[in-house]
Amino acid sequence: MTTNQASVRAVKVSKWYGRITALQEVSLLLEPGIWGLLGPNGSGKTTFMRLVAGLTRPSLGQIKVCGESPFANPEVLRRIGLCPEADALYDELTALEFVSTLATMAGFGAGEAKDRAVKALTDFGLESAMHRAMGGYSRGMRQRAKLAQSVVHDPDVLLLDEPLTGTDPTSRSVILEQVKKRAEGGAVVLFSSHVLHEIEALTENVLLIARGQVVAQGNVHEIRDLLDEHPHHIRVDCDRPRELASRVLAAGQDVHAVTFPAEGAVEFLTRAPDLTYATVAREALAANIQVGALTSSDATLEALFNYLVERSGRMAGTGSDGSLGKASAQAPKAYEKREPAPGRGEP
Amino acid sequence: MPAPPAPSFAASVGTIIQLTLVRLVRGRKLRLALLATGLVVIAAISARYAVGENATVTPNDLVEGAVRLGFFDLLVYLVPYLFAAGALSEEAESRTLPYLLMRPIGRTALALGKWLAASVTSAVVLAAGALVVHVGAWATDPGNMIDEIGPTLEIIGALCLLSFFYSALCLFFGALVIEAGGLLSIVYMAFMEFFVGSVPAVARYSSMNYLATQLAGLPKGGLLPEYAPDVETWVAAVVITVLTAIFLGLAVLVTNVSEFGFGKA
Repeated sequence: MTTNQASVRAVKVSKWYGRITALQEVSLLLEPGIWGLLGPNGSGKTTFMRLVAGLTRPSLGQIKVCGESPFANPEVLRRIGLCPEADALYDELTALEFVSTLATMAGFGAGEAKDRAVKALTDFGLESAMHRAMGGYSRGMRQRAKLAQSVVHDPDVLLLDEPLTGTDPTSRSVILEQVKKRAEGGAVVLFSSHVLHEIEALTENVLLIARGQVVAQGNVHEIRDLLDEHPHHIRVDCDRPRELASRVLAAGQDVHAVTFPAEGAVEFLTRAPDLTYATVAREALAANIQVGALTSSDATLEALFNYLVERSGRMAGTGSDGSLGKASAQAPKAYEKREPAPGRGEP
Repeated sequence: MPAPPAPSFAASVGTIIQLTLVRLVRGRKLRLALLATGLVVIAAISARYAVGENATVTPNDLVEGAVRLGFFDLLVYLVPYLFAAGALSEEAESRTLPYLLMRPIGRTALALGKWLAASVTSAVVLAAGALVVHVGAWATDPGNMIDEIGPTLEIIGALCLLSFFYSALCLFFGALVIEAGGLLSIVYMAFMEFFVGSVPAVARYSSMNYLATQLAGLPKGGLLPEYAPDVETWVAAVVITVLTAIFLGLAVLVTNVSEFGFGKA
């Protein structure tokens, strides 16, 4: 029997694809609310989604959705909705045919399935296009059709794998609003993305996944703090790198190290990137130094993930310690029961 | 509102059949099957009238020849292959399969629905083609058209039985090996069905195509036909049916346990 309470529980879940480890001893408990699953491409987000959706089985460990294993289990599947990442639809069908057919497969009669499909498509702004074949849809419309099918049966667990990919600002606004509504109705919403801002617009509950491990989880503000304390590399390509380096160091800002990776380039290591950017600009201007490029490889989340993985490795040996309720570089509060977090503004 | 109970098995199968048929009707495969069948039919009827009324070749001979070459040696492989080989594997490769696997219809209903849609469509296309050949061949002799319908109906029955068998076979290989199910189906049909069905002696028993030609009452073809064994029609029908059930059961089994490529990076 499935439990009434919507939940997703992973206990020491590992998944291998041949010799590749896609997930490594992931343990977590997700209760109603919106959960952001944040990680760079190839980090294991989609694998985790597939496991929760029952499309694949763990190599080790257990996945329970509403108390039961989801793989080929109709009792669980009727409570799950999935918006897959792939841009795949039945192009020869209209959106209405597509969504109403899937609603019928969810257990609704033909009439109710059609009514629900119309409502879901209207909610996602496809009311005027629902009678057209989906092969002619734009990327954003296709994404919204995928989302409509994922919610047409009011699932208790809603899995959204990069749902904002390829969407325009209007589509994003519509999608985020609908996702919040579902969470307010008591569903567990797992929303994956590799863009922090997308997650921030929806929830404060974040799981950071990298190299198949949950490397941090907790409040999005704590993730922001991690970003701030993470040492940044700022590279400046200019005509007089040594002079610029001495001037920035003399300015006494929070620069920990200076290197010269190439001729005509200087790289600063700093924990105060905003301050350092301003100092570099000011000193270059003052000394009339010609700056060709100013880049920071650390601006991406991937750098933070790598940093967290390394840090967790130093602290605990591996990323997740495997025990439910703990993660290595983490905010353990993430396992406390929370109310669905309100959004923090539209993108 | 809580999620509704999972749909019944029959409703699930029905929905899968409906979805598959709509996609077949709007897709290219049905058109391709109709085109191939149409060409065979046109060739057969053209040959019938090209030989003239006074030739020693009778309309019956022409119908039999066309059915043997065009239907039993070509279309009965091609049409079920078109509809069944990619029924699951193409959906897995195009990433639309999760929409079906994620619904509480059960994987057995999914496999059965796909098989029924493919095999019934194949049977209808082949039966219609054979019927048109019959009507075309006897168009100038309506009286005999009715009298000679019996053998044509036997042929249609055998073609339908083979359609169900080949659809199950192609569905099984497609579910078993997503990337190469079509190729495996072709290899199996080319060797076990076409080649073995043409060799002398008892080896022909393992070819359902040979058994179906016996069921249809067609003369034996292939190498040294005089050494090919006779088979009772009821035995042929039972063997094809049992083999169909075995391949269908295997397809259902694989569908129930397979990760359909989602267990790969």
